[in-house]
Amino acid sequence: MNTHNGWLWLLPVAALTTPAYATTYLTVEQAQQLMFPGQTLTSAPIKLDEAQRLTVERASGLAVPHTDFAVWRASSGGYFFLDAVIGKHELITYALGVNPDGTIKDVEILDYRESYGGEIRNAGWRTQFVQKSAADPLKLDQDIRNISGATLSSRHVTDGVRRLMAIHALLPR
Amino acid sequence: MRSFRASLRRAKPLLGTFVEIEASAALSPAALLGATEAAYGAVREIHALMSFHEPGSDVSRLNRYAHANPVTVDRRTWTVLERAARFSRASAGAFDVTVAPHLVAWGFLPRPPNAPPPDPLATYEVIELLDDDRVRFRVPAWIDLGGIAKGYAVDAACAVLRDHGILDYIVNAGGDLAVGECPSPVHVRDPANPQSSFCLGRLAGVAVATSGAYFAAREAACPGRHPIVEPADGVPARDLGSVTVIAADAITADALTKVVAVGGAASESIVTAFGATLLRLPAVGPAGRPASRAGLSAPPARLPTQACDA
Repeated sequence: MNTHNGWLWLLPVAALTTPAYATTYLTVEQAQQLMFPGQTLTSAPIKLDEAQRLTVERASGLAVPHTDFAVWRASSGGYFFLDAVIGKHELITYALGVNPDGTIKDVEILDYRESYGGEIRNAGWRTQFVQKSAADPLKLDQDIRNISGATLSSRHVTDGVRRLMAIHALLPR
Repeated sequence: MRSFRASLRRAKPLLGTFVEIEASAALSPAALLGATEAAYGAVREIHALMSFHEPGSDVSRLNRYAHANPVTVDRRTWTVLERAARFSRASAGAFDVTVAPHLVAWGFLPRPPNAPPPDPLATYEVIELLDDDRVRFRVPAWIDLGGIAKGYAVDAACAVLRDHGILDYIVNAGGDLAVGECPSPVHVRDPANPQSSFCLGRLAGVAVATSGAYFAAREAACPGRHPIVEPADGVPARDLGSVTVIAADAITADALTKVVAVGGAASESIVTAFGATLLRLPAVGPAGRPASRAGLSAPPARLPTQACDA
């Protein structure tokens, strides 16, 4: 932070274009161990038939755009879902854990990708980065991260969880 | 003896946004994971206490009953109301938690079930903070803590991490973020260009919050009382500017962004009085270009940065 007489000055490399902002959080395995510690998880993928798809759409009030879902059964009887939702500018992969009694155990975001067209509009942005990195080494993925004002809505994930819970209702307890 | 150094980065959907916690400490990976679980637990509890939507939250109980009898709330809810009152007094009502009826009228919040119609003249001054964590409203009022609870939740998560001996952390609740004792680069999104961001530099021991002036157009309808709320879709407004406040804690940063966004130029002295720093980003810079350095303003402030162990 450059401070001079107590005033805040922005660094000359002010406008930093980040056309595709991507963050990876916990891995699938980490999320599974976190939600079902010490348990064995067995892959039990689901393919909804047309009747089931309509049931889920009715129960959740949401469209079910695809029929294949990645699901694991925990030795305790709980379930672990892996799913992705698409927002206006973002693709979010998340995990849902469901308790044996059918209540939500936890939701964990595993991957967040944001794109405004996916193109690097300003070809010079990478060069600016390199110049800055001479004095202050930057790791691209690590430094374009703490963004204030990134007003992100979790509504798509909330919807996704509701859809998965409607699918969960079709599964054996 | 073996020494650990673990790093972790997680995100969860909470508070209507994504709450990201990044932490690094001389702990085992399991202990670090446990500490972040505890931090998320604190956020979840605050969400449950202060949600406008949850019928059993303190906020919902206050909106239903506090005009009739004092309502005993959680100490944390009382604390947030007490902090909110300070921001309201300092800003002569530019910050006001009793704006919920406007948000309901505009469709940003659902009508609270079983709550009496609010007195149209109710302001923050009708809220009485009594001893033993009790709260009373002098007249029926609807409060919403959306302009301050997110910052408080970020501070609470940070406190949990520090209690676990973690000093190197960042907690970011959809743009309201707090940095621990290790300097970390912090960016502010350019309201003119959502794919761009401005680098504030490497910050430590501070909190940063940003609000867009999304509702400037509504000011005429409710002079002096229009709050700042994230639109339901969360898409950054493209043709309105943003306000960023850097403060000692996230609750201050969160509340002051609202003060500035509704309070205009006079509010800059309020920001200074709270020891905070203000950064305005215009929506469109000269000749339609994105915001440039020339368009920025900032009052004097102290921005602590310090060295950190590797």
